[in-house]
Amino acid sequence: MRAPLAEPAERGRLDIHPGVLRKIVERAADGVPGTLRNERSIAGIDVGEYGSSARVTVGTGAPAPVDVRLELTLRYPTAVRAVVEAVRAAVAVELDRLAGHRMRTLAVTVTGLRGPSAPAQARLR
Amino acid sequence: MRAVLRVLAPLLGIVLATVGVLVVIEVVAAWVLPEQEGGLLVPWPEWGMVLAGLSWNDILVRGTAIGVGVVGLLLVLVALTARRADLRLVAPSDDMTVTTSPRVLARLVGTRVRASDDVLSASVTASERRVAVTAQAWDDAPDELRETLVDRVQELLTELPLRRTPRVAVSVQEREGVR
Amino acid sequence: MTVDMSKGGDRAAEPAAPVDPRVRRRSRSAVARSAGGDRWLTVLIGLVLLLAGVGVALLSYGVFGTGRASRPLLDPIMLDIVAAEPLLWRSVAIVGGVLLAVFGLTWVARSVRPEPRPDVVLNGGADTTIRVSSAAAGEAVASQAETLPGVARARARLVGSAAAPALRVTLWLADDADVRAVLAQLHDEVLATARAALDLRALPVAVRLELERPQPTPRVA
Repeated sequence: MRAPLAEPAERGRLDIHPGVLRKIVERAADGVPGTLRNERSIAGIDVGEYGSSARVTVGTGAPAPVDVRLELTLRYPTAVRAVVEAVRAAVAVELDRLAGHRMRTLAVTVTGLRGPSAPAQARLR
Repeated sequence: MRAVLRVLAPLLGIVLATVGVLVVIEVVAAWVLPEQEGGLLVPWPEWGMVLAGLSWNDILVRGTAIGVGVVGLLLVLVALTARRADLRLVAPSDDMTVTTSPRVLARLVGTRVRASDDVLSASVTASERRVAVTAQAWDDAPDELRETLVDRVQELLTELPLRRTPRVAVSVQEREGVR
Repeated sequence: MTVDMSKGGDRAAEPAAPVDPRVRRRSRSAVARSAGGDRWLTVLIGLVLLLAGVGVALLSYGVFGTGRASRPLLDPIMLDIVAAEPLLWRSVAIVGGVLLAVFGLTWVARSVRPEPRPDVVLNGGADTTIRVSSAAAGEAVASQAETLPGVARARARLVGSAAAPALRVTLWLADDADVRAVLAQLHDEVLATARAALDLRALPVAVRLELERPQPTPRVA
């Protein structure tokens, strides 16, 4: 006689690699209006764009809480606090929805404030 | 002077630190190694012998004391005169402080003076209290040129929101020859 | 009440909010790196040397009595006092030397340290910390300042500490710039925007005005 199977929701385990969590966070942050993409250029040559950059630390426990460090570039002028609050909400929702993790702490560093008057970078195409 | 102070201050700190370290090393060495003749890093016994042969009214002592006093006076003077020569302007609000340099004021005044057709060249010295203009004019310049220039400069000074309006002194030299 | 017809009177006069004297002081000290510490320590050392030199010179010339003046430098009385309690005087010398060394090294470190560039720390609520990097804030203000008419170039940086940041702005003005108007616009537009964006109630500012080098006029061939 076979042992009864557990409820479907309790069967198996899902471990998500921190790299995936990082991408989830970055995509969520980039979707918030007010955040901008940076253009990466080496020696004046466009090498591509990148949005926010995140570092994720998974804690212990079940479900494991997640500490997020995020670097953002924002539009200027905007209210930085309001945009960061929106980012926090978006990241928390996505992390929970896609990975089932709870975001515990969020540390945001705004590394760029780009206004409409920012000089265009020299490009070599 | 500020540049001198910025170099002098850390040097003094290094000198003090060196003296302190040497004193500690020599005292500890004399204590722990009594058989060592002479100082470890600094020949202090020889210095002691020289000093023992001197008395307070010796000419060497007088000279050194006066030298030390002069050095001290120089240090005090350098430190007290190391100030920025900023011109203060009136700011739109109290949480703003606006400054500029005398050089900028001199350039503005010079540009305004040279804009006059009768002026050939001008040199300006400016400070918070006084603006002095020496202008060279063509020989067919009108007699009232000096007053005109004074008016022009004062007009410029009122356009600038200076905290303190400097006094204006203009002198005009006429140049011989055809324009 | 007389009407102000000068250039500055064109815009609607805003009632100036009373400014905390501490904020005013912070804006004054933001003008340049403070030389106060270096200055007073140098004055102290200078005074000590001056007084010592003058004192010994007076003693040497016999102002305090010719008897004292003719005493030897290493007075036997003094030597006896020291020899009587060698341990005490050794300790005094060692402690004095250590204090002097620590003081000197601290002074050098303080003097040589470059001016800090503080980040702006905002209150993000529970579990969230927000910090705007010093470079980002400075570039944002400078970029906006450069759009003002009359301003050829602008640089801005944060000075002070993270708890009490201040702005230092340098403006290179064009020759024909209206200084009053530029300052008014800087205050009303650029600084107000910065305070609103960074959620800082008080941001003292020190503005330095320079003139841009005149551009060479293009020659027509």
